Amino acid sequence: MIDFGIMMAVFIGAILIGLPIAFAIGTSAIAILVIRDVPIVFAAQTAFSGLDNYSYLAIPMFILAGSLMEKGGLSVRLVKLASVLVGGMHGGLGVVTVLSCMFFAAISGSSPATVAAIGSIMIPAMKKEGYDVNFAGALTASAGSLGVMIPPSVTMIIYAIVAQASVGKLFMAGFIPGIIIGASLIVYVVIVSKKRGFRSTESNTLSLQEFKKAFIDSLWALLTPVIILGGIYNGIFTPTESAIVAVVYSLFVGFFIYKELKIKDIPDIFVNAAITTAKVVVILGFALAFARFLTVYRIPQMLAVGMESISDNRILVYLLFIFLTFICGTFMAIEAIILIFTPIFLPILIPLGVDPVHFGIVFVLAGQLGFLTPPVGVNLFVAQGITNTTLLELSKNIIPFLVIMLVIQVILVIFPDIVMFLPNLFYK
Amino acid sequence: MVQEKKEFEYYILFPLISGLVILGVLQVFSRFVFSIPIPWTEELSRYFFIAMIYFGMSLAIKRDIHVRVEIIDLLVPKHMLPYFRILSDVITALVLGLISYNMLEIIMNAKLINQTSPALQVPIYMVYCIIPITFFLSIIRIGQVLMNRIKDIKGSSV
Repeated sequence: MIDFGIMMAVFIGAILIGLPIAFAIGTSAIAILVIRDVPIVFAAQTAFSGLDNYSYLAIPMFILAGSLMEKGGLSVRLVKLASVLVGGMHGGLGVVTVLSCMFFAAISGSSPATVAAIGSIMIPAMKKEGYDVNFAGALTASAGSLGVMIPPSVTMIIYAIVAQASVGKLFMAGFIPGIIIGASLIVYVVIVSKKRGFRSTESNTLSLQEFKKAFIDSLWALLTPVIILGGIYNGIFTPTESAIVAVVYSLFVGFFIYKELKIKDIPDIFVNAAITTAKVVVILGFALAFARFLTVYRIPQMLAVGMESISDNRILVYLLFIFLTFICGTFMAIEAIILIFTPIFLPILIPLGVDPVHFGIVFVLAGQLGFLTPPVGVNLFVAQGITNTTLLELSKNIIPFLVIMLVIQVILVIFPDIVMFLPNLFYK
Repeated sequence: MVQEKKEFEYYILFPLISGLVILGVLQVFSRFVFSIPIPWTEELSRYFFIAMIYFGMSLAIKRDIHVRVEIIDLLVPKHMLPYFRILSDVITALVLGLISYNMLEIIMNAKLINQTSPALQVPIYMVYCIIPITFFLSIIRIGQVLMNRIKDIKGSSV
């Protein structure tokens, strides 16, 4: 137990000094190995073997596919389709933002990417129509968090690897919560817009012709999730293979159908995807050394005993955990939290009857809430980059959205069947 | 527009990630079209992936874009900040140095027993060398970043 205390103290100290998260974890792992006189070879070994896993390849491929689709003109067409559908009503553009984020989430696996892709189109559009720009920014930041809830999701892949859960099941499980969040955001936007009079000035009645044109135009983009998810659930592809297919598909559509990709942009898109992946996965390499040390010294089991003395109520322990994740999520990236917490908490929760898939969804959502809160709210930062207002103004506007998502979170914990319905239906 | 000069790692990362796409396509094709999976694509992909991650780590150090918690930036007066960054650079370099130094031992052992990889039959110690090479590169990059920070401190105090 003292070991664990030392590790956490070193880790937190390193984080506070400003060490990158990956190296802060590395430092704490090395520190404990030196103190316990365990050869550092242990950590060196995991630096290689920890990453030597074919499932990881899905991460760079989904990231690459996402940015190819953004640059290739798929996101613009999705927004077009959504605005033809609902553009004219009260809060129409706000609803378009949420719907576009949901569409985009279904082809991309990252939430800041979703905020960037949709926000750069929708926030200026909403501002032009007289929306409060901070409200627009807060809305996009929140809706962008659907990026990791609606499959495919890079964050879920990382969780699946650490928790040894099925990626396919997790993807399935994300659907219903994603749709519930999307629907709640839409309801809220419509209510606020009615009250504050946000409405498109052009009378925008839906003609069948317009709808047909927008639908056919975005058909190629809409097919992406069908190919990716259909392939995984029919057992045709592994998640890694489906990610590769998604890359090839988005290259094809970007070059030959929408013709917005240019050969000279390719190296930058590819290398940026490589760097984005490296930034996340390097944390993984170091965190595994940390996690293996915890396992060898049976620290999760000891923590579990301590936890049981507080409460053995599943829901209470769960809520406690969500609170902790949320707090950590306000200053740390969700991937890092998953890598550190999963090996500690999953062994505690499984004996209480928690399904690892359900835990994963709740976990990812809790981390999303962290994405929306300062000091380190990635989605908030991306949105702020587009709105050009202060972080404080944006943070004030985010509060109602946070409350909505928090309520949904609690509902998902109390009624696990909402999450587990689809995976149980498809995986017997 | 002026063509920005790219880093050394850039020219390694591009073939690596392109290679991953190509190998992946080969794998999917061989499985569906010829229904005989090529045995070495998966193994080579895994090694490409590890190399990509650690070369990416090095480039992220050079560009100073690793994920960190920026609390310190809010707590400490601005002129003190570079000193903390230098401290964290030094610790990072030490950790990377320790790990790659210990990796050498693993490499020696692997060489001694002449272990080869299952599909490609390459000596495994050569694959392990990815770690010390990329970590060493990262330490050099840290050195560069460090020099720039020191230069900045000197520049601002004049």
